Amino acid sequence: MIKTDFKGCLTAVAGLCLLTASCVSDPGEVAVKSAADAPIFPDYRDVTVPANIAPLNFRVREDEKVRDVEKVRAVFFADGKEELRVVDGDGLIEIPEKKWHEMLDAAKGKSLEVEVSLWSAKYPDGISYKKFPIHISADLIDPYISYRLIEPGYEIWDRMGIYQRNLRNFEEKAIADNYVNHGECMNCHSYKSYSPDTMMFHARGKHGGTVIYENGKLRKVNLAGKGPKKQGVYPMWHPGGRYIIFSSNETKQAMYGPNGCPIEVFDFYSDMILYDVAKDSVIVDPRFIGKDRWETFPAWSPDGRWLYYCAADSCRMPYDREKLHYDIMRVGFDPASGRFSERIDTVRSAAREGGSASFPRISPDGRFLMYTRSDFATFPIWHDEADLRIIRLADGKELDASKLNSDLCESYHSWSSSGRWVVFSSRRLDGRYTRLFIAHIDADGNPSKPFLLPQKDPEQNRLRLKSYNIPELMKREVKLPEDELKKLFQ
Amino acid sequence: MKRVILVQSLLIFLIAMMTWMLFFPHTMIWAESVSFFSFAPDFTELQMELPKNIFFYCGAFLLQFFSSPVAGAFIIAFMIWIIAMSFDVAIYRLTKKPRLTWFSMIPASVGLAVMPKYLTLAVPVLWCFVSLGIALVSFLLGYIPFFRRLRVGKKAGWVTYALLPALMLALAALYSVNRKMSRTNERIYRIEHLAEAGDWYGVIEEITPQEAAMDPVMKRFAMFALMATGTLPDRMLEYGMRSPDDMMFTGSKMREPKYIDAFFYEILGADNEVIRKMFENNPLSPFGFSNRCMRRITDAFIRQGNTALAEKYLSVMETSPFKKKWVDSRREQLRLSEKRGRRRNPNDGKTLVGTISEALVLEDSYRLLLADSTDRRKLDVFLCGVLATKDIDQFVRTFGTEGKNIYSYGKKLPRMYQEALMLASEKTDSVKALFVPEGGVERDFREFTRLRDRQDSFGMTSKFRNSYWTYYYLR
Repeated sequence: MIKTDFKGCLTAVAGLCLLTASCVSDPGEVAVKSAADAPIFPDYRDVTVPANIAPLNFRVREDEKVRDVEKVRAVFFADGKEELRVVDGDGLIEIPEKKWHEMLDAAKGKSLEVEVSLWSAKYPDGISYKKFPIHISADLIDPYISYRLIEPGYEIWDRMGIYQRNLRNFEEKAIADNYVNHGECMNCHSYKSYSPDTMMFHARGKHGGTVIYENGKLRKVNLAGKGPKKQGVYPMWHPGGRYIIFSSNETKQAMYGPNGCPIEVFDFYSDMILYDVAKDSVIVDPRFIGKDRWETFPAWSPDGRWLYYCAADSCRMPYDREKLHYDIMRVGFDPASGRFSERIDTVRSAAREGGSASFPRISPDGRFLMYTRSDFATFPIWHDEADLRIIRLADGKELDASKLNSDLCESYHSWSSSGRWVVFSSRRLDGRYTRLFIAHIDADGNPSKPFLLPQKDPEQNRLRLKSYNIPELMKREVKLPEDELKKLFQ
Repeated sequence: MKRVILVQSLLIFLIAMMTWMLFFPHTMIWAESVSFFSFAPDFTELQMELPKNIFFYCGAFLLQFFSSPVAGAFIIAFMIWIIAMSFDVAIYRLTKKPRLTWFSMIPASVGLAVMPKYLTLAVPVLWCFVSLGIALVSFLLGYIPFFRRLRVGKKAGWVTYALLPALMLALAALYSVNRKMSRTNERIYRIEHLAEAGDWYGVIEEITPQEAAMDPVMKRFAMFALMATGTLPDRMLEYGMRSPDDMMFTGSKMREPKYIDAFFYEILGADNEVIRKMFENNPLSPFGFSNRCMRRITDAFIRQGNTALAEKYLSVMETSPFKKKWVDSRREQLRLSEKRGRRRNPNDGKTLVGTISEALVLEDSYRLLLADSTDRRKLDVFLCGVLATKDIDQFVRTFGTEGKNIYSYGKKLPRMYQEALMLASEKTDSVKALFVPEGGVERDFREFTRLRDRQDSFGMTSKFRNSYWTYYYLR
């Protein structure tokens, strides 16, 4: 409660300050017209956004050429007509929310053009930059996203939790933070078909377990006490709602000492187990709990008839980590019996294609598979070379996903319920702190340029000392009964 | 009454400030370094939840000033003054007897005596608020007719307003100064600050071998200083090293040992491990972050030439009031570092350290040595660690490969290495080809072996006290 109230007060005060700050007079015409790209952060030039996204507030990005900015102005045009003019004295363009949504609603399927001008010590009479478009897609995105906030890497934390963000504005709330489970770890949230009414997450430590929220009720399950006595790790809820597939991993970290990549995270082993939610029991297929082969990152197809997962031959870790390459496999599943088919297909062979695959995710229309490719091993967030790839399942062809990727890591990703958007983790801003990007995917699987999750002040991306982890889209806000949640850990 | 207040105030400020400035300057600097205050959103939200009350937040704000011992001493004196004056108000309003105002020195003295225990300042801030509350309530109660009718008592004599308060405050100061833990901590913090400044010669001057032998923290700092000054093989036995684990608090998950262990990696150039230890140290601070960890993380990123991350941390530090000077100095270093470019060793991506071995010091130093076989420090750490375990065979093997690269071309071979090689040569004659004995080591070895063969422990200890031979056979 204190957090929410305090945040509200802070927001009100901040809003008042910003309102005052933004009451800066428009300096009028600019003296210099430049053909250069507007130096803005985030880079929202030529991005495609859903019509229900929060305002794309941005800042002027200062560098050797752009310094000591006194004023900045952004003018938004729709169909060549000026729609909105925002002037600021602090380098921040903060777009009024109501006006923004009105503009977007009117511009669905079309584009806005933005002209940025600034006044600085070098350009006392102003300089304007090349106009850039923002494309407004008629495809809407699911209105909520959830993620864990945690310091990047290592083994000790203090506060962490699973949070949700309203994508239409900047409101962020805790779904569950580790205040309830005595400061222990919380991780791996998963929803049944984007529904906030059926979800699960793990809560570790004393009195820990897998928390399942279903039909308005919370319960805690000790997976390690059932069946083969294996702990569940990476989950995915079956679209039918009766099952949750888990990988069961023993995960360790090793540190690189001098410079460069700081950590390698690896599994000593991994298997898969299937939890029957209705019967509260664990089903095991012996093929997926052997020592010779490691299975991880399970993912259901949208119709629930196939299970995709990553698998690799076991090896000596961490010493042989560069030899560890995961394939993407697929096995059939019968929801009525809870059994997997005999036949297992290789969807992507590491031996043939190279690299190692993680996080296979099937688009809601069942036509595309997105995964993360890294050079080796199974924890791509620490690999700068990790990139997103898209396979067209009809013919197995890999599509061009280069627009999604950068020189630094792209990793965890999830599709929107419509299949037209994908949200993914990227460390492209500084190589360490994971931030979320959203990209449009058209009907043929072609991605557009991704855009950084908007913040009220983009400076927050730099000041926030936590990473965004496991982004998942939801159709509505999650509302867990707080008192019941606390009781689970007493 | 004015005289009472004036004298009491002077006494409080004089005694409290002198106590803290003379006896606890490094404690105050340390208190600032383990605190953190910032207007960044993450920090503000954390403070509103983490330590459960507003007093930590106030304490964190005040601790920013403790980087200057004068300012820190003033703040402590001021808090004690608030307590004293509040009780003066209460006593006078409710009794009208100036002679009783010396009672206010009781809570003030208690505050001064126990202040070193409350370095987050949350409790002292709470006391201040409570005292002010008592003063306010007393002030209001003073309007009740019963209290209004009280007659003003006799003036306080010099014993009451000067001597007694001075004695009480002095006793309190004496108590706080004589607490063993406070003295020990002040010493450790002083050494820690020398280490943070990279003044390893200063560290080794501060720590005597006797102290290192008795105190595990002093021993580690001594080992780091010997590592950093290149004198580990010459003096490790003198400083009581008996195991490679004397070079680190291996496996400890406590805050201070983790913080101290990071120096081991910093000296060996393993900045990723320094960053990791600081990352993990931050949440162990009562404030969720700490200035010293943030600074060391920033410095490590600057050394690595990692502009984006160094700049990120500088931006966060900038949201702390009063950090501008430090931030500006680091920005300047970053600009120079950018020109040098990002350090990359082709073996960087292969060298794993930190968590995968029981024999952490030996494993890590060996891996780091393999990644950079020209670094004498890494070689010395490994060889000295191996010698501490009395594994002469491993010593010879490594000396014969990596050691030859480093201790060739006329470089003086440390006496302890020569002694170990002489020992090894008893078993394997070919060892003699690895080095040229100097400084009479052959003669000394002959004498030692005579004593050894006669089992003359006294002779060995008295003539070859700090030699590796005595260590090998008698320790």
